[in-house]
Amino acid sequence: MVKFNRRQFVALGAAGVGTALLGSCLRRGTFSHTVTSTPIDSAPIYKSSNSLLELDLEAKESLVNLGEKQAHLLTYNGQIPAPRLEARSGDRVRIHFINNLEQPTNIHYHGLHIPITGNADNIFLQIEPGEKLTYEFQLPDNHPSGTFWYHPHLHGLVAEQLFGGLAGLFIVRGEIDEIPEVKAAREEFLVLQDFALDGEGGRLNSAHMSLMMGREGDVITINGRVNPSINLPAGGLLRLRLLNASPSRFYRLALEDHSFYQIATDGHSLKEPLAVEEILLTPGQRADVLVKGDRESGQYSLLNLPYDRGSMGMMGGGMMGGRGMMGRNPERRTVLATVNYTSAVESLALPTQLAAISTLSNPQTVRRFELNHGMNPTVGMAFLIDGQPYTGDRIDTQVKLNTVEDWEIVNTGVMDHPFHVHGNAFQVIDRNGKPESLRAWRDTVLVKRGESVRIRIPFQDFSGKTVYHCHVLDHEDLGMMGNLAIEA
Amino acid sequence: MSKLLSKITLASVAMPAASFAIAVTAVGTFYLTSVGNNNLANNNSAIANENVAQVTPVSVWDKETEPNYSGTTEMTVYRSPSCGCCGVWVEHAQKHGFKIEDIKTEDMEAIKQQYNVPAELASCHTTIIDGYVMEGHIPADDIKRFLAQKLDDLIGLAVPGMPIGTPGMEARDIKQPFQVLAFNDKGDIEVFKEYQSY
Repeated sequence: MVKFNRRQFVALGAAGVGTALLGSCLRRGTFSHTVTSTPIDSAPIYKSSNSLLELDLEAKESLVNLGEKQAHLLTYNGQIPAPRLEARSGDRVRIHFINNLEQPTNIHYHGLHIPITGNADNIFLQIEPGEKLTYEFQLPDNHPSGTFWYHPHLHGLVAEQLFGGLAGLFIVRGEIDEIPEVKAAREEFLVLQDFALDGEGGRLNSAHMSLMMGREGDVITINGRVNPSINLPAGGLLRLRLLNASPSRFYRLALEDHSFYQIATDGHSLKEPLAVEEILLTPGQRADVLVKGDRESGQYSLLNLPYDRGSMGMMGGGMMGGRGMMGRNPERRTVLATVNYTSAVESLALPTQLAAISTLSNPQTVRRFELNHGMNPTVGMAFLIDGQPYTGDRIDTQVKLNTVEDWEIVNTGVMDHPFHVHGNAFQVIDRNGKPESLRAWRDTVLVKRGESVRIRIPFQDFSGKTVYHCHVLDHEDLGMMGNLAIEA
Repeated sequence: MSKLLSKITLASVAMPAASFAIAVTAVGTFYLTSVGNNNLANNNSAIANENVAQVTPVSVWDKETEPNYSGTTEMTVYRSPSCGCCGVWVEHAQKHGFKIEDIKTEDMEAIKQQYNVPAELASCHTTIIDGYVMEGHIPADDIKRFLAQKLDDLIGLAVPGMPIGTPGMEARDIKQPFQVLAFNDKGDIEVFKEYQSY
């Protein structure tokens, strides 16, 4: 019989539990309500010159300043986020990489349209601790200009390594930067990350994370800072380049009293600015937006609004609404950054035209992919695509180079799954059979639970083997990934 | 596949301070899902090795530890028709002698509210037995131990979330430490049983 001490009731604090050992439920609020005047300064920059971007890049654990404390994080070159890389279409890129982590790793160039083999965007490379590898590739001359990023992608370790902090922006400069209104805007880069730390600034162990939902941390940072300030010139335009580099956390962003004018999705320009009140960024997604400095001078909060991405009532949002314990609801809005008006500039207008977005030809092949989690006879509980967990040497999908395919991604499970395809961008054709009105290029699309999303993908330029997967990276590590062979 | 796992003691991992007293009570051994030093191959995902042909998974939870249980065995399980793991827990409970009325419903949140499951303890499926509510992937024998005690100021047990390794959540050899929590109708919570390694 279990000894049961009735006097030891404990009160749960603010945060949602949902983890094996209440692991990631730290002191939510300690950070999110700290108003700081830390500037938004983003990571150091490496820019290409003479059509070459060349740098040394070291992955290692480092002690870094994060908010008001120090944390032992996984870094590239000791920085959170990693150094920002900037190149132009047609440039060569040469990255002398050394792995000084205690685990093997590699680098995925998320969203870039470059070779998926060799020492380019090859996620099957495995660089052991202490080993070096020189990544080398050329951006195609017609590569779109926009916001891309790089992060580790060694299956089984992806979530842990991203959650440690390994992520940085890869900016391709080009035509979008030359549009006069965009060029005149004040440009800021915002890398959104979350961390789970113990009292000594150590990273919480994976065993304490809610792996099934996907690990989340209570410390949310932008460019490694808690609630940094962003300057908005009165009368002018602010160009925010947003990246969700968290392994699982979704961000539903809004700026008090301001609309966003979205100009790009996942590194690809839209046809024209799209006015939206909120931006939902799933892990892996990027958004470029313009903000008009047309309000009263003052301070405005960049908010993260509640979003329910899964079952079990612990993700906040709708499912917890109406419960008698709203005071405990951990997923109420939080302040991620503060926008401050600065001295007035000459009034700037929004651009009217951004980029042409081609219409894809009808698909030669239509495929269907079903996402869920469940018991698999060989491995037990796993995240599955078409009932199968990922295995390294099975080709799940074989396509032909220079063809167009429609993929219908069906989520029959109880959690949202953002679906990412490596190597080639796609357009969303319909959701639940309803045609998508916005024509846009993406590399990651949210497929909500119960939803069916049809995407159209042209397979262009590069043959070889790569993957598609859920970008909640614990789901990916737990099997929700497939091998894609693109045959010449 | 134990070479993929490293054993460390919880004492070496500083736990968050703050109000989470129950987390601090944890002492013992647990497992990382991935750690350096070992030669992790591309199949280092704890579940992604196709070479293991184990058609009938044997669970550590199959063992009967309460053979003398004589209480109620009829239970009602509410679960979402799209839940991929709840059905496996139902099979676990059946193996331990429970008779299940299996009700599939999309309105799980209403069920949890009706039976006063604290929101922060929620999991996927909800079970009603002998007037008590059992939330999530609780080992069936803990339900027997709980019911045998006839604790009238508590209304049920919960394993919050979906820890990997719990009954119905077995995945290769990943075993997340977890706690079975007991609660009353005011939402007060205490630890009923703790599993560090199993």
